[in-house]
Amino acid sequence: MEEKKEKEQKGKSIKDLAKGTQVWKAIFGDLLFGEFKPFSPINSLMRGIAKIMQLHPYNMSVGGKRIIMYTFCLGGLSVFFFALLTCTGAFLMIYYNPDVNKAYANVEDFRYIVPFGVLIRNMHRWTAHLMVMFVSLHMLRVFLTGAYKPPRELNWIVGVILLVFTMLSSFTGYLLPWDQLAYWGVTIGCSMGENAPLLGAKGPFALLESGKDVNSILVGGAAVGQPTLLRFYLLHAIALPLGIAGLMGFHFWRIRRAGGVSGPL
Amino acid sequence: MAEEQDETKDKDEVIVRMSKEEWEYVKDLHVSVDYKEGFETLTPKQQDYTVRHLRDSVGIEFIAGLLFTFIIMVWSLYMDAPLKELANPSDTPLDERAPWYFIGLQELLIYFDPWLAGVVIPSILFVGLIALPFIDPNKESGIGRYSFRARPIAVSAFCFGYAMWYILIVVGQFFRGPGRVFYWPWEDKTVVKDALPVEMVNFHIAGGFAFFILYFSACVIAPRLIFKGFYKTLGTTRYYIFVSLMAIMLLVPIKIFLRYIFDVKYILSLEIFNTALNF
Ligand code: HEM
Repeated sequence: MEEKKEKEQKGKSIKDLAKGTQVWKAIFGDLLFGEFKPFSPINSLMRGIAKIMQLHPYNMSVGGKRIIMYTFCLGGLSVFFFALLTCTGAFLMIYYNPDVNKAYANVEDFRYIVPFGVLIRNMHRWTAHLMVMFVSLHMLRVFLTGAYKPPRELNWIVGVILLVFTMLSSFTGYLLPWDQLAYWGVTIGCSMGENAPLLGAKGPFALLESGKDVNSILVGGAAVGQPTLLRFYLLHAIALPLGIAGLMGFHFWRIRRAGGVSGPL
Repeated sequence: MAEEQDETKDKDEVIVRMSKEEWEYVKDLHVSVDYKEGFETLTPKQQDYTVRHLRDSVGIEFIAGLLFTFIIMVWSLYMDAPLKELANPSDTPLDERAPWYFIGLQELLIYFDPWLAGVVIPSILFVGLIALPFIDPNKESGIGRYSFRARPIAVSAFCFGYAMWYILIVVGQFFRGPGRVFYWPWEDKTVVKDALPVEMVNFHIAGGFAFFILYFSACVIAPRLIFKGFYKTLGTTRYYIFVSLMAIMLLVPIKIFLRYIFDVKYILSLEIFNTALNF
């Protein structure tokens, strides 16, 4: 009797054995591969999240395993990165002053004094890189699946604006540590505005003088300085995040209106 | 008005196959859905499919979020965000560079004047992206799946531009050393390399005009001849917008090519009202 059992056990693959364990069941059992139980706690949690986010309608036509190969979670991860940036950014705001005499020292404090300061600053920085990358990849996937076609044109346009806002957020944040990298990176970026035709001081057919052209609205003077830091800080911490959050809400609502994410029916 | 409402209602009305028990469970989530008898007759597999994907997709997104939290945590623990010395307006660093997502534009600065590279080209890019859904004449096929065959021209054109953007970023980020001079990966970037003093030439003004006139005519005529029915499906306005956008996009690699092979500084150099316009 015992021998038979042992033989049975040997006949099973490692995966089958693992599936029998409590750990496996706890992690994957209900969430992904297990038997469908509508009343289980995990399932209720998922439904709750879906209900709050209002993202996935019931007729979502993409099966669970296929969604990975279709959206690659790129949009969802962009939302996630934005949320993470908001949380870490709020933490950084506690210690940061947009003042040219203090900013650099504040950022140094994250390294040496503030508890978990390094970790949070690193997370904020790396997540920002990931977000820019994932939003542009998301655009690529939307294009390749033809998801910008009617009735989703408006959502594509909102998306393009979201992409620009995401880049501007990263760019304005880049100045805030007020180190050499930040200063000259932003100087290069802003010198582009200076060269706008008609409206920039150095562009062709310049109508406005240096310090009074379009570029100086952003920079607050002829060169990057204290006014720039304050402007970039306000854009970075207030205006752009609010704009992105609002547009994201609109983006998701449009997905719902279009009957959910496009996909093979 | 009433008709419009009906239309949207049609779009919102979805058929969800589920058993009565499941319906009891989910009915409060989606108020507008009615339960219709008869779905119990579906095979268990079908019932399963329609309900299962919700749980699966949210579950997978949840796991993706966890995975990336983990990746970001580990990345942040082992790699510090850069912080150089305090900003010093009087000390321009040798290798002055924009953040990576704008480095493509900085790369263009090498080949074009700043008003083109920094203002005109990004504006065209932005407007072109916004106009894209309206330029594409094909409103039906290739939705909801990855398909090259259903729309070869659209996919190639977009991927070409997308790839160019990232190639410029990679070159600007990894192949440029002090003074924005080109360095191969095996060359030491701390050694300042003198940019070879190359005599750059401009096209003669007549040649420049001739180049642009010929180039744009070719871009307008060639697609009509090569792709049959292309002009017809697009329609006149769309055709000209599409063709000019493509022509402008192709000018970037053409200029880079002319610069490296023939040391061309400007194809066309004009002076209008004391303002130099160089292309
Ligand atoms: C902050 C930036 C963005 C966020 C957070 C975001 C988020 C999302 C999410 C969560 C979805 C659901 C499907 C998926 O995950 O792929 C989605 C779909 C979509 N997004 Fe975005 N997105 C952003 C930027 C963009 C951009 C740059 C574009 C295009 C230029 C775009 C166009 C679309 C379209 C057309 C859909 C519908 C796709 C479909 O039905 O298949 N979005 N977005």
